[in-house]
Amino acid sequence: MTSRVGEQAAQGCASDDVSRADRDGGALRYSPDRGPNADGLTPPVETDALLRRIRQELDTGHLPAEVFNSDEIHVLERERVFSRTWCFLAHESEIPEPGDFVRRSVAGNTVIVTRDGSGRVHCFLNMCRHRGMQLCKVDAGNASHHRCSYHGWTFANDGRLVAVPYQQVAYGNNLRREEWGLVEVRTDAYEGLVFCCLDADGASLSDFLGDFRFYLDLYLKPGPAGTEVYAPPNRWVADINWKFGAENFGGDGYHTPVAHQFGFRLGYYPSAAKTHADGVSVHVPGRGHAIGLGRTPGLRTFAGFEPDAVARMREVLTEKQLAVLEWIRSAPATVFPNLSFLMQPLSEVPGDPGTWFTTMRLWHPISANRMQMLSWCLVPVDAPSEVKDAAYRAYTLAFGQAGTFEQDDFENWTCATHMAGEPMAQACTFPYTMGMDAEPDPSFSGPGVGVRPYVNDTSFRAMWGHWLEMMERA
Amino acid sequence: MTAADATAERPPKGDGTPNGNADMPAAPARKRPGRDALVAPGPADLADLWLFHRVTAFYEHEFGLLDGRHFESWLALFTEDATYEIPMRTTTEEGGASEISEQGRIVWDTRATLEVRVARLRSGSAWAEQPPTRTRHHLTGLRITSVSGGEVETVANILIYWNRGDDAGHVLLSAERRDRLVTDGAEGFAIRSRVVVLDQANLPGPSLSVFL
Repeated sequence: MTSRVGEQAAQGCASDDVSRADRDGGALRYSPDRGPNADGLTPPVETDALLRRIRQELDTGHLPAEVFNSDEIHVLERERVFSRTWCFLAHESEIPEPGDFVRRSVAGNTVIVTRDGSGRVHCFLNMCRHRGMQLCKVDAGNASHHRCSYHGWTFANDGRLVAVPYQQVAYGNNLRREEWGLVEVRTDAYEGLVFCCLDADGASLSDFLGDFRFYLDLYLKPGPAGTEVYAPPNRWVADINWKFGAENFGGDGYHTPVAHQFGFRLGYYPSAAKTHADGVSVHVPGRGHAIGLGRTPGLRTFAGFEPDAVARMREVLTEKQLAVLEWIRSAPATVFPNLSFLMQPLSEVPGDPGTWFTTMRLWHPISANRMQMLSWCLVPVDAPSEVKDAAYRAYTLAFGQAGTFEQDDFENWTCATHMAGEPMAQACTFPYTMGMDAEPDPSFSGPGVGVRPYVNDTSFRAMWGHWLEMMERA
Repeated sequence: MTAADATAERPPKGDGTPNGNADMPAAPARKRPGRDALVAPGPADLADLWLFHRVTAFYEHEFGLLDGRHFESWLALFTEDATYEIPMRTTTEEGGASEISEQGRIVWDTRATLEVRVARLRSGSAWAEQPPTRTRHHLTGLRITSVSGGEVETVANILIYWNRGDDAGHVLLSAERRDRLVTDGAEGFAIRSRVVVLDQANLPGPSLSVFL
């Protein structure tokens, strides 16, 4: 019996920004029955009034600024959105072998995502059932068993409690091991993406993703063998409300020419300000998922893709999917609530057609004004290694902590999050009125609702509309 | 940045080396055993001390350029085939070297992509650096681990202070920096490869917008 986790466990608790902040956040836990916080340190939670205000504004295409920096909203989101919907955990290629595990967070809970001896993926609360000790204090590893460093309870990587020190002597017949396995959360996967849902009665993953699978395939099926992560995720924290990232990647074509002006100016991006609005903004009604399909007029089909890469896509994608993919310049997407994707080419030398890369990212909320970023680069499993390397090089130049595009966005979202917490700002609303009168484009062949131009708020109204429906459900 | 600035900040050239060689001390080419082998303690000849001094002066010059935001002159310290990497660190049971991801990187740059980053900073729209971050680079524990074939390998601890706007706090990043220097650069040395290993797995934000 191995216990690589337990052996190191006596060295004190790992200092992890997320778990610390999540504990702090726990003090704010919303309780509809309790009314105003009993400790008197925080103002009364006027949740119903706040939700009524958001409903009123959103119905006319507006969103109150305080949505982007409010403790009440954060606590409510944790309970009514993140604890009830499917949340992304990990890519299967992060835990390819039996025993492999990664540590992640979901709705304020630290979890272990692991593959058991038979190859099945599980998600467990990272807590010993005996006295609540953290079982795993590292980011990733491989273990057949997880042994608690406090009293030594030992759990197999399928969650069973398999060893209790002094069981017969101390407990006699008063402890049934089968009742004290790890707390398990249900999981399901789509094309390598492992999700979990804390709500045991919620809809299935396939129902949750719905028609958006058509678009997810564009990122996840670049060839017969699918995708893998090139490396572990870049990981850092920022004073940003997670919704800025989730919304932006749902297809904010509007920000690119200004926020990423340097890219236009230096020629790293196959687009020009004059034609940048071209393209389609797509959402799947009732789900909150959205994708932006930016187009550059005159760009040849599959521009920047190697012929081999196109051939591999043709093997797995449908004609309808290829018809959408062939003309895009860049495609950002968000799977509601907080998993995003982006594929685009980036040139190392200005004016080059550029190297296509795909990033997958999770905007994990820590508090109303803080998040942890996890950012991966996905590469086609069956691409040559030099193609994977080139994609990762392009990815690091654009995204991750030091990525040039990422720096622009994080600066803007940090400042916007700060302002959204100021009192006068909280009384303001933001217009989400772009495309209010737009009709679905009949020439767009993909599923869901596609509207033109690419510069559009239609998907965001749908995204926050779905968010609000979940928030209103007590 | 003007040419005059660069000249003013240039460290003394190697004209006064004990053997009169402008670029290299006379010490015979030799590979030192390991990363932790030090030049300073133990028997050292004058050439060793002179090399140590010149490398130190080179880094002090480099920090002056970085903290003074003379990025074009800083770029000129790198060879045309230079690489600049910041590997990713993850927390593992074993710690130490096992924490450094084989594949994962925060930065995986070449001279060409470093130029992209500098051009961006000069574009007037690198928002994360407007207003600019105030940095101060510090270096201690310099070790020269290898002198061979016109190349000098160094390992050093660096500490970077940064502060921005009217933030009353600051960020301190600590790292080990491993360089491979060639001795034919315009400043006496040129950086052929740099690997910056940060002492932190979960990094503070919002971004890593400064050079290390």
